[in-house]
Amino acid sequence: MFPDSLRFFDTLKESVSTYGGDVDHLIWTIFYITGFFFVVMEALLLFFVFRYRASRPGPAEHLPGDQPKSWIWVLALAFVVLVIDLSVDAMGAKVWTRIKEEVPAEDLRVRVWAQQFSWDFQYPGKDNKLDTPDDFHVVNELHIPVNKKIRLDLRAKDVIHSLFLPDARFKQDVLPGREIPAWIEITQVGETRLYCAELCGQAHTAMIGTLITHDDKSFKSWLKEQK
Amino acid sequence: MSDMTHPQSFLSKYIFSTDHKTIGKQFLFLGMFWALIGAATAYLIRWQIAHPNTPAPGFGIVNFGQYNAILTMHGTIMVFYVAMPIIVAAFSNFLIPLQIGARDMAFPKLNALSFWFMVLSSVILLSSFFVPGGAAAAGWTGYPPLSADPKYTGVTWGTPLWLLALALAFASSTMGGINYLATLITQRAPGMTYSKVPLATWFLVAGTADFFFSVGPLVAGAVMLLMDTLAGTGFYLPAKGGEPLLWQHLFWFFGHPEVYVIFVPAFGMVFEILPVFSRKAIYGYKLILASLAVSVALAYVVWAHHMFISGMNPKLAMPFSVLTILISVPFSIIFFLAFATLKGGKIKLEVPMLWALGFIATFLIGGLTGIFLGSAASDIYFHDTYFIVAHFHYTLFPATFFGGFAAVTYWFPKMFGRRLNEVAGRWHFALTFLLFNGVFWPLFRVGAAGMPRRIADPSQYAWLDQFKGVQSVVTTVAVLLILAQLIFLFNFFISLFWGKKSEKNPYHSATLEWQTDSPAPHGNWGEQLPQVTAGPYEYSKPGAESDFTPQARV
Repeated sequence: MFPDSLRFFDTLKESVSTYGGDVDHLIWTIFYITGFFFVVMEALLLFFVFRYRASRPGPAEHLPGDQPKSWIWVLALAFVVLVIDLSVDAMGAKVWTRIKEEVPAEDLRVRVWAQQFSWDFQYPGKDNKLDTPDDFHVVNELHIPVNKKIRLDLRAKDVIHSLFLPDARFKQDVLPGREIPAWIEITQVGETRLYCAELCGQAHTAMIGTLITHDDKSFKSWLKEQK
Repeated sequence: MSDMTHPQSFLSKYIFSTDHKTIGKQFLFLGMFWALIGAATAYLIRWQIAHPNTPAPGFGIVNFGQYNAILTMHGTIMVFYVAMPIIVAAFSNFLIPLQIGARDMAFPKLNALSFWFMVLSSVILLSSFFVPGGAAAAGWTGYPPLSADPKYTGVTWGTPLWLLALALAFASSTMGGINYLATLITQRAPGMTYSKVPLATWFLVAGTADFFFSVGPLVAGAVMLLMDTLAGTGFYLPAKGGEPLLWQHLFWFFGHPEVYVIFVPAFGMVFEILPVFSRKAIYGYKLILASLAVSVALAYVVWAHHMFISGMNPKLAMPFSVLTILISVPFSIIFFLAFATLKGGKIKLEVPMLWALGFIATFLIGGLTGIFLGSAASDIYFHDTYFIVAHFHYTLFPATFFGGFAAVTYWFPKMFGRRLNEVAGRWHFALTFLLFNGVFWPLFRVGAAGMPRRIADPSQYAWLDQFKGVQSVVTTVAVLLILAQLIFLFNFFISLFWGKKSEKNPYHSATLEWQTDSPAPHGNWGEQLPQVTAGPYEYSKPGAESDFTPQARV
């Protein structure tokens, strides 16, 4: 709809999750609203400084705006701001609820262990149940099948971490002492970024992994290779 | 007046003074000293981001542990040791009694104690750089368990010293704050009704109100963190039955209002400058105060927007998100009224006005980009990225530095009786404005790409290579931004001793502080307190004898 040059956020990579598009739509909506106010307000500021410069003839106007009726235009504009606010809220609430409040029934459940300074992904094994003897662990690589709902149970072993999958528009802090339920559904096969977004100690910067999304066949063969 | 005649030795006049103006200047110098150290930490952070693992000129290699300590100290120093002393303490002390026609603060000795607590706090924080294990390194937000146990960071003495220094700084701010409130309530000159009090004083006191009622829970929280660190308790440690999110709630219940503690006074001082240099009355004085009251109140109920993805109950996110975005309503009113104040004026771009307009232009960006973070769902993406780094620097840098330079350049004649150099001031403004935007504007785009904040080594993220050029330019611009401040320092110190002597009221301002001598004498007024007869912003009134009516004839 808009030329790319207008897109301040051209650095925002295409999303690869089912809900990523919703987040991006919200981001772009806020971008165009705030962008409009930014341009208008900055232009008006420059215009006023030029238009009402000291060297123009005549005295300054006396406009104390001390009568409530002189506030009507301000309050009307503020009402417009309020309406815009509430529409952004309504739009954001839908997206938030979908991502964070409604955890759908899953096709695969993986437990994510965060620790200084790596990710440990615990898979349920053949019985599809966690905490049974056939569970297996993979370090720093989260392998999942494409177009499947993946439930992530997040736990930390030591301090607070944060699992960030930027291309899935997923981020969730991971706390010691509790399990936080989360979910993703990735729509593209391939490897994308995964790293820790919460300062977690000296080598926080090195807490990097990879999200690897397989098609069904290749996920099955990957599963077979695991013990 | 005994206050005006008691003998003053050098020590009692300049060091252990109880004169609010001297204490204000002491806070100003303390803040300026810390700004130099804050700038040094900024330089090291920027060096490491642009040129990871290469020796920073003048320092050497910044290892990961040092990097974390440096960024922790950068945040702590800039908020509590630069912004608070300069924006809040220096100008509350200097301005409130002068603007309301008092001879001093309500409690002058407590006021002096407030400064010396800050000195003690500064010594402790500085010393924490040199203890074994280094300075605190868990971020300025100090989230436990990371901050609570040395085994997670390798920091041993640094964390307790950091907490102790902060506790003393909070005690200092509390002693000061009590004074600002009590002074406004009890020390107003005859005729200085609340509706004649200038906006700078109102905004300074409103900021203090935000500090006062939020700091208590954090002090309690800090004591618990100190005990977790030193005494083996487990308030925040799940292994001992504690709750790490408790700290985040206590921290941000204070931490969010704290941002207002800093930028609300800056906004107030900008409002003092706009009418003077446009020769206009403030448009809608009472509506500004009403909007201010709403903003200050809302500041208390938005703290969890820092915690949308912290693991707190996700159902809490929406109420906090709605309240956060709602803040744009009172602030849009304040912005519109600032614009209405300019409209129809005779705008003179003297240095304080340049800073005031620069504040509006840049702070607006900070406010607008806040919506991306206040909306919980889009915060999922932007949280903990460089987008947020750019955002809060667009709020706190304008508040602390644009607001601070506006205030210092405007009140310099009243503080020191001399004028700053105007040409140097213009160069300083132009360079700072351009270079500041040059540093932080590109970081929005870097953040939008997903670059996380607080990473010590970007070279470990192959996809960040696309920003190598940008980061290198940003670092160069940041160094230039720091160097540009030398213009100010030279101008400040040279003018302090050799600047042109200032008259009483060089800008033809109406507020009370300009009706006494420059510099204001001990006791502020002559034998008689001023009798206030006019409002603070009576400019260009038709039929008046000059284009402004002073609040009182002194």
